[in-house]
Amino acid sequence: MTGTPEKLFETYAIVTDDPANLGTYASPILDSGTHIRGSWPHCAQRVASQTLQAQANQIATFELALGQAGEPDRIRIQKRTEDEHGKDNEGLYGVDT
Amino acid sequence: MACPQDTRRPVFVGPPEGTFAQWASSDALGSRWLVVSSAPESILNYGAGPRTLYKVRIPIPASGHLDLRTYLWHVNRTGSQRYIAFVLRLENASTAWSYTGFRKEDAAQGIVAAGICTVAAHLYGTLSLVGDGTGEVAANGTLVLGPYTLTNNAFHGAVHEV
Repeated sequence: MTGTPEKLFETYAIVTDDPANLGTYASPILDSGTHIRGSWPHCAQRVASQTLQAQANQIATFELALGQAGEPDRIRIQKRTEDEHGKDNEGLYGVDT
Repeated sequence: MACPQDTRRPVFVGPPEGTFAQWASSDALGSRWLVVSSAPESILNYGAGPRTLYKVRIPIPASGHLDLRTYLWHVNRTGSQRYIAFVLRLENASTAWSYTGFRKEDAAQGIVAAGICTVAAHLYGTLSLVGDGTGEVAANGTLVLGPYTLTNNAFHGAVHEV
C-alpha cells in the first residue's frame, strides 16, 4: 500500500452480534477477560525451541535470526508502546499459555 | 474458499548460522516488523454490540510504501453466533491511501486445516485478488472485508497481502 510517510496503517478485526451493525469500524476494544490472545512469553519459548535465542527480558523484547540471503541477519522484536492491548491483558503476559 | 494446493512436505533445516555478533548488520528498529502471536484470539462472553479485536499499527516508512502480510485468527467462544469483519485504514489520516495487488485468502475450517490452507495459498501464490486488487481509499476512509458469519466455537482465519 502507498500512503503518507509516518502515518500509522491499521489492520484489525471487529466482532459483532449484528452483521448490519459494524460500529462504524471504530468500536470499543474488548476488555481484559473477555478474550484471550497469544502471549509474548510463549512466543519467546517457541523461538528458543528452534535454536534461536531470546533475550532475558523476553516479555518486552526478544531477538531472532532470519538467516535468509540478502535479508538482515537479526531482527529485534519489541512490544510496542502504542499497542493498547498490551496493558492489563492477561493473554499477553502468559496467563493463558 | 479455494485451496486446492497440495500439502507440501516439511523440510528440516539446521540451526541458523552466526550469532548475535552480527547484530550490527541488522536494520534499525522500525524498518521491518514481525508481530507474533502463538494462538488465535478467542472471543469470550462480552455481551453484545460491535467490538474491536486485536489491532496492529505499522508506521508507513519514508518511502511512502509499505508491504504488509497479515494472518488473522479468531475463534468464537461466546456461546452464540457472531460476525467478524476485517478493517484496513490509516489512523487519523487526512490523506488518501492506495493499494495495488491486494490479495487475500479466507479459511473457515478447523484451525489446523485453515492454517495449512492459508499458508499453502501464500506459498503457491494462489491468493485471490480483492476486486481487481487495486483501489484508493479516501482521506479518513476505511476498507472493510466481511462481515463473515462465525457460529459458536467456529474459527475464521485469513491472510491478507496489501
